[in-house]
Amino acid sequence: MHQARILLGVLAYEFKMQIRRRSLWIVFIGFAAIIIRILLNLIAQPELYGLDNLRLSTVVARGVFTLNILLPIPLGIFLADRLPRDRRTGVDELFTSMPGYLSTRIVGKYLGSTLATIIPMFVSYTILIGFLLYQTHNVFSIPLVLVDFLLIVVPGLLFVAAFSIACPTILWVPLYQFLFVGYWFWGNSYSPNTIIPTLSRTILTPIGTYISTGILGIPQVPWVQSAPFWEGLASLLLLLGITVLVLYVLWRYLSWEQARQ
Amino acid sequence: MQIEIDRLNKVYRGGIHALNDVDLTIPSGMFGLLGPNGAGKTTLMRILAGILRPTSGDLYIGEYDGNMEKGRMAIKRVLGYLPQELGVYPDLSAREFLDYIGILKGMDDRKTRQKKVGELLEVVSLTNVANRKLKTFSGGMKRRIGIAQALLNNPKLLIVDEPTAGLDPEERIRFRNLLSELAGDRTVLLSTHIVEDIAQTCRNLAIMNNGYVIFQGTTADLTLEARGKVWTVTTAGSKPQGDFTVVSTMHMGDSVQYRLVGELASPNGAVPTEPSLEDSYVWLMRESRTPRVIVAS
Repeated sequence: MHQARILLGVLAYEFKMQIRRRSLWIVFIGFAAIIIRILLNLIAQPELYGLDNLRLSTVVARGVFTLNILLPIPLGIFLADRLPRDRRTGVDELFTSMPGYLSTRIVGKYLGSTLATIIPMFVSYTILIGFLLYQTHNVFSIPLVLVDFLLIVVPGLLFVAAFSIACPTILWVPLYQFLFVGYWFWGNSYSPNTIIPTLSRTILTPIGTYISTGILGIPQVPWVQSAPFWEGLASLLLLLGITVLVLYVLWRYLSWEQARQ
Repeated sequence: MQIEIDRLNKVYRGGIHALNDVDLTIPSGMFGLLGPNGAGKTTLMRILAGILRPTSGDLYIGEYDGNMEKGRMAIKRVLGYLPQELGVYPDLSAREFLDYIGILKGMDDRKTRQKKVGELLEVVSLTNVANRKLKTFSGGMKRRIGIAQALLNNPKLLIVDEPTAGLDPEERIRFRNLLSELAGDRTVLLSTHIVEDIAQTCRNLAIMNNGYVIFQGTTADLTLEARGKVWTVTTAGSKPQGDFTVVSTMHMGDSVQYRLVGELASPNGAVPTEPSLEDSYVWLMRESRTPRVIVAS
């Protein structure tokens, strides 16, 4: 019970500290501005993108997926300094002398800071909802965006967030951020029909290609036009499973590091 | 809450011996741990606080075994710890930071926690800046936040590592008095390399050097150690030469008075002087070049 309350407390404070970061809001508002520009183009020429002929569910899923091409990048970047910051400021020594378990602190930090980074990201999704309402005049686009967000976007975000919290324990933060941006494009958007091998045609791709195609039946990229339901589900479960595994490995690593000091 | 340390060793990676067979009994009340930088004080404090694990040896705090995970967790529940370098989140206010620490210490009830935070901010005279971000705080203010966080859970054992470093004289005095008041019903372990801090607050102390405990006893016992080893010499200006340590140099107009610690073979105008705690510390440090443990009866 104690640890559950400590977890909630850590979550609340990590959330508070992350959401107060001015740079976080500036970057996401910048992204939102780019999205507004793209959507204004769509409003001007809907026939060019075939919006007039598509079903609502397809339009919504495509919109959600399109936003997901870029928005997880700042999420990964802004989470990367959360754990090294504790070492840099020296609070980790103080916290270790307290009865809260290391595992509790890791999970609290992960959930709190991830949640706080998703909030400004949602500004862009609100803009998308506004656009869809304007374009389709159908209020069902609101719950559809939310469902698609939970299904297509959230598993990948949780996956990315776990790596961004964990990897900078052993990697210099700017180097991780650089590598992460490269990975994101290589592992998600890079066409597999080239000579360089990529993860973008595997169920390990966190952008939600297989979840969208397999579970929702809405293909998003030219190289995955169809996928069975189980592949979509496997992608979802794999992303969540790896998330848990990464956090577990992080906990074991930090415990080991603490013990060998 | 008594602390029993038996043959405690700590060897860091690379074979650096930070603690060597440390035996120490720390009774309730205020206890000073004195020694130069690198003596092993911080290592010992960090082991007591459950941050480091000893390489070998036994450690009991009250009834809790500091070598067992269960014991370590129980110790952490009754512990207040102020590290040498207090880490804070610069973007939190003093009140928020203390509230966060309260949560991590397992103070579940929000109202009780907030009340305690308010009281401690009052104790350390930071109520008027409680909502200011910690990045705007001076070193002294951060030290005060440090002591407030250490006291949040009303600890039975308070470990403070170099708490007065970087404080101005007034703040140092206030801090020392606060620690003495706190020692009334708990064990306060004060680690420092400033002899004056110990002299003003502790009756019992231990001295460490190179990972060894070289003295354990009362401040009065320590003073006795240097009796007959402290001298005053007045010269026209030339510095006395010999195998001793000059602990003070005072210009007196046309002459200079030196206070010396050491075994003077031929006193030659040197006047024996009553040792202070600092003289005794200097004497012990000289003597500890070859390690030996003095336990005063």
